Amino acid sequence: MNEKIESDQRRFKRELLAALPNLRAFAVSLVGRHDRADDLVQDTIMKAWAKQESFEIGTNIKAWLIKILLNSFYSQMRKNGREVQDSDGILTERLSVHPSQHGALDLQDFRIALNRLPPDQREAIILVGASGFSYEEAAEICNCAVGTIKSRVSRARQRLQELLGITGEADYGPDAASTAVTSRPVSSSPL
Amino acid sequence: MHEKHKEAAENVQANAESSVIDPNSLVSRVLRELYDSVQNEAIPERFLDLLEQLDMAENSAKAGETQ
Repeated sequence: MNEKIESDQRRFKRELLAALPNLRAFAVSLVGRHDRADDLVQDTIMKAWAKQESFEIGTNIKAWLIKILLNSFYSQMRKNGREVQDSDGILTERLSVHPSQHGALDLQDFRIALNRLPPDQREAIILVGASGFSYEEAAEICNCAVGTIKSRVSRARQRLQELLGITGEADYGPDAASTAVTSRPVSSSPL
Repeated sequence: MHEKHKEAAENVQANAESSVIDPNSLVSRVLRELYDSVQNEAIPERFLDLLEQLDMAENSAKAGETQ
């Protein structure tokens, strides 16, 4: 019996360790800064450890950890009244918009733009666009409706395109190449 | 001759396609690039130490219980 408990603990630790790189990637993308993100990750590890009995082995530990992290993130925000702003500098430089016709975007510009989205939109686009969760899984993690996630993701995309000056149209027709040369306003994008 | 025309047309088409990047996929691509760059970093020592400490604390608590 004791051995069984012990091996569960070892297994939990192993799974937690294996999920850490993904959890950090989520946190850094969400928060925008490594130091704050790592504080959140540390907090998440301690909370997850304390309630490891409530984790069902075999279910998705990544989703479980992200849920815990989001709880801490939003309760910190509530405590501070608003999101802690980047006062000490890493993201304070102005977003310089580079035309994206080369298909390349500066990663730092992207981080700044991402950081300007409302947190719920940021969270949604990261979960679906980078963590690889389905809309349904993301809705479960955020505790909201699938339609809400979909609209947050689409608003996030649209806003990022505006901030980054991406004016190419999502025109999938055969003459996309010719019509996209004359760029139309982003607001008409059929998202 | 026909083959050559076809080839040229295909080249033009390919160039046109590569110069027009769907903004949705561009945003998604850079987002994934950012995410993956963090995901590929080594796990910081502080987290490995923390887990080690949690593990040890739990084990010594258990050892205390059984005595």
